[in-house]
Amino acid sequence: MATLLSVRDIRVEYRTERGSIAAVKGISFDVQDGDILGVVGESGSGKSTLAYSILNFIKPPGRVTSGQAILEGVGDLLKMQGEDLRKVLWKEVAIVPQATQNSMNPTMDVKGHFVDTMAAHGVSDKSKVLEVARRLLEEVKLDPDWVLNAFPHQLSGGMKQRVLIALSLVFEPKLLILDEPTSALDVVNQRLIMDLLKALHEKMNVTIMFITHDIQLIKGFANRVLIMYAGKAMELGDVDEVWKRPINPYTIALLRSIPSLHGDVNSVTGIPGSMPDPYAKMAGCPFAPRCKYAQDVCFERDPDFVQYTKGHYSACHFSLEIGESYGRNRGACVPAAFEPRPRQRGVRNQGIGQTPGSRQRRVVLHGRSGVGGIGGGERFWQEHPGESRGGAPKAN
Amino acid sequence: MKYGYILRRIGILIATLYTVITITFILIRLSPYNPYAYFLSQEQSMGIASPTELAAMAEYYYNLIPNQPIYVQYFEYLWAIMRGNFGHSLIYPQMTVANIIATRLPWTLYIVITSTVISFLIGTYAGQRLGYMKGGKVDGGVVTFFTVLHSIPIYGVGLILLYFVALKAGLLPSAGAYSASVTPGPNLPFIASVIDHSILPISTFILGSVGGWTLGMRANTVSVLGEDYVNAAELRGIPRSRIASRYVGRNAILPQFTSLVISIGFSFGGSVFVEQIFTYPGVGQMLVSSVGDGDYPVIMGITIIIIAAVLVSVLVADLTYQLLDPRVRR
Amino acid sequence: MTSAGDVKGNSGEKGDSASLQPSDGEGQKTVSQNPSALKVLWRNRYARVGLIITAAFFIMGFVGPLVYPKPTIDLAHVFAPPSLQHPLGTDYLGRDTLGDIIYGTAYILEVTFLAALIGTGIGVIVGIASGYFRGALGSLLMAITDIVLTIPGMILILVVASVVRSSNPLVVAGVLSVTAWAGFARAVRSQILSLRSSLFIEEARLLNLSSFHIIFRELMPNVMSYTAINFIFSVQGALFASVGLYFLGVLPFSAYNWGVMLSEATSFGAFLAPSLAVYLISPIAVITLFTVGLIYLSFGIDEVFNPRTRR
Repeated sequence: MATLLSVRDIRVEYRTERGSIAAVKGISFDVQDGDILGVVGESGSGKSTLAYSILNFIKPPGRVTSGQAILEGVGDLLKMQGEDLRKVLWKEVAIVPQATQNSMNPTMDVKGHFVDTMAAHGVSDKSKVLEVARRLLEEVKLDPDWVLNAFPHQLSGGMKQRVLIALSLVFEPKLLILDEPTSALDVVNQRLIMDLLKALHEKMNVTIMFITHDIQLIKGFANRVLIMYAGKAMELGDVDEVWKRPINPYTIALLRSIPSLHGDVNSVTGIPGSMPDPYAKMAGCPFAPRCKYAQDVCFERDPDFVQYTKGHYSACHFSLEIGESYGRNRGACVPAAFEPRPRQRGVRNQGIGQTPGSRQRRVVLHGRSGVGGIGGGERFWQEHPGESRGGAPKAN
Repeated sequence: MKYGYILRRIGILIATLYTVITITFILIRLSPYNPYAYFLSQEQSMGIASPTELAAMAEYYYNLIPNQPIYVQYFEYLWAIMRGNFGHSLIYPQMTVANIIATRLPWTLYIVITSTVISFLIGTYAGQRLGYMKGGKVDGGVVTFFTVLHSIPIYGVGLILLYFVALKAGLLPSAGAYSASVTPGPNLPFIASVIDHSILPISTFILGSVGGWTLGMRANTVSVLGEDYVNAAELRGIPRSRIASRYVGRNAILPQFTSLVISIGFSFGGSVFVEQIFTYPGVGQMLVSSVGDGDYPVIMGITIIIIAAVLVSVLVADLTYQLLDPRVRR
Repeated sequence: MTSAGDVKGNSGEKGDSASLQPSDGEGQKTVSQNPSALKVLWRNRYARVGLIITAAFFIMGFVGPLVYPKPTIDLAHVFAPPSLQHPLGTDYLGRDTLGDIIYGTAYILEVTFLAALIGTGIGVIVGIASGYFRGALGSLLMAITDIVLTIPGMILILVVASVVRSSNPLVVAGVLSVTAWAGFARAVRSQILSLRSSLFIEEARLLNLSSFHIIFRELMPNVMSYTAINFIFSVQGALFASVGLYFLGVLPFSAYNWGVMLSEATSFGAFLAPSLAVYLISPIAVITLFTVGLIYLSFGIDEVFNPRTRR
């Protein structure tokens, strides 16, 4: 399979009067032809920004400060400007923006939108446009005769969403990006849209990049998943593998926050705390203040995004250990080596430096990731049970 | 477009007009400042006319028949007006009010309509350009400029133009609708003279109103530029020029139409000053002189006609808005 | 008029917390959280300028005549050019132009502010009445308002002025206010209508508060922002109309009147005078300046009544 999109080290910065925000911090990933990549993250994680940065569509006060986004057969999108970029947009890669409620010109009917879009790329034959429009509208399960002559205010949210999806496919782009396509919809419509997208993917073989904050939409739909937090890529891999064996604490926390039909409701947990202040410059991993596994090194050094098994990447100092332990107890128990540091009630944003209390005596697993950490730590505790750690030790 | 809606609006227009005419009847006949009674008492005290002659005069000037019961008078009055009979002028007894209005109304309509259209076009174009430039270097200065321009009273603008352009520099004529040396008719010298004489009055109107149009359109443009669908269009690769006209312009102009309605009424008010300053033979100037002379039939007649003109233009603007904004159509 | 500190209703955070705070001891907190109207106006660049200009006019109007010499007639020097003695030249009777303007300010201020007061007052009453008391009364009031609204202001004023000829400021103000109230009444009415169904009114009713209370303590504050802005625009409109009426000669001649000054500029022979330009431009400039000041002031008024829009 060919690599359709190759994204390398994209960084996006926003400059405001209060300071600068690193909205996207050095993200790299590949999308293969025919993939459905789900990009998951909380609000403010930078996932939408990532999507727009790939298209080189970031407007001031934002700026793409570095990176490449190489689309097969087209080139590096981030090096294109003006007219060149305009020609590529929609023909090779299309994006369905978030909040489609206001994405259509209120004084123009659906037909007009199709005509305009296609004329912008050289197709001015009206009959051809209508033919394509009808076909696509039928694909998205809408009645072309009525919809083509309708104005946006006459369409419901779900219908508008479908019109926009149809509109995005007029040139059968290589890559289709959808920014939270179902967030504004009710559950029923959500399901319909997801099924529709799946059908379109199979029928038209369009590669999809799908952005959402709802991790539950990924399983059963996408085959690859990229998990983001505070502008940083945390984990990337095949969906099945990531679900079975996540190797990043953030992913684990997310997965444990999904209620399932079978599981115990009590095993659902949230993630305490909130995202870091985007203006604060952090030295270490952005998730560290909320991470159950965090150690000193996590506050000192930002982990690199590294490949662990084929196609499976993670940004964490302890992915290896975490992966192993997850296999054993599905993240229900934090291994002893990662016992919670004494921490104040109600974890707050820690922004800079370390959690208060972490200065107290603790066992440090000698910093280096993946080197005999667990074994050494466990043995130490067993040998020195009385060592004070300044907090509530958990009996192993 | 729904015909029912059009009919309803026309109905409202007729109802309003009817109410206004009724009010004029009440004012003439029943109010304490009743000019008719005053006029009667003047005539009577001077002993010039007998009661029958007075009655005839009342009917001649005011369309009132004094010796009939009130409801009959009312009906007769209404009937007369509907047939276009507004009585006769007190100052120029041989002339019917309708005649006077008919000779003057076209001139006023000419300058009011021309100036409103030109001002609207200039303001819309400039306003959109400025909207795109918001936050730029010129922005603050331009806004200040137009605000100040908008603050100069229209008679101020007129007087300045009259003084500096017409009298001092002699570039354009200072009075009249056309020069005495041309013969009215569809001939070139006449048309040229008419245009020549109307440049200053029209310019006065334009200068007085363009500031408002520009600032309004600028504000609308700025707010439309912030809308999602403009971004969405750009994402679809639609060229800038197309977006500017069909996505931004088209949507930003809509609120201006409500302003158009208000500005029409305002223009008629302004014509009172502009025509006076440039001695332009329109209804505005006639109104002022008849107010000065106490020529009540003329005052009433002009008022009714101006109100009718405003109502009609309101209706036209409203219906045109329907065509542009699909959200209002059904 | 309620001060900024009393504004609630819009649920602007500042307004709300201020009304909940006790007024004793913790008054310090209230003041810093809810600065006085003047302070807010001052902070806004535009409003600051507007405030200064308006204040300057008031000073010119009421203090000016105490300080500046009263213009005297000097028929030998009619329409004289500017000089050390007469900074803006002289008028049609040889009087000092600058003096004319200064002495004429008080009258204009009286008339315009009075007219705005009357117009806004009537507008508020009609608007609230027709908005709150629905049914026949409301509709009737609205119908009258709509009719008045369609008549061009100047025309209506002209017609009324033709009947009422007086120089009494109160009467003139009354005439000018004839059109000022209609548009405003309409706006007030729609605001009241939309507020009627909002929650806090429901609560007030549930608490069985009297209509009176509801109108004055709950509805009014929300309309204050509109009212203040409309007041300023009414002053503007009255300024424009009053000077215009005097210019047309519809209102009787009076001394030191800006409008009369303008009409004299067009009188016979005046245009031949060499320095008429200064004389002509002076009242126009002054009117323009005042109008600009009022407009700028209105930019800041919104911030005073709407804490949420403050920076």
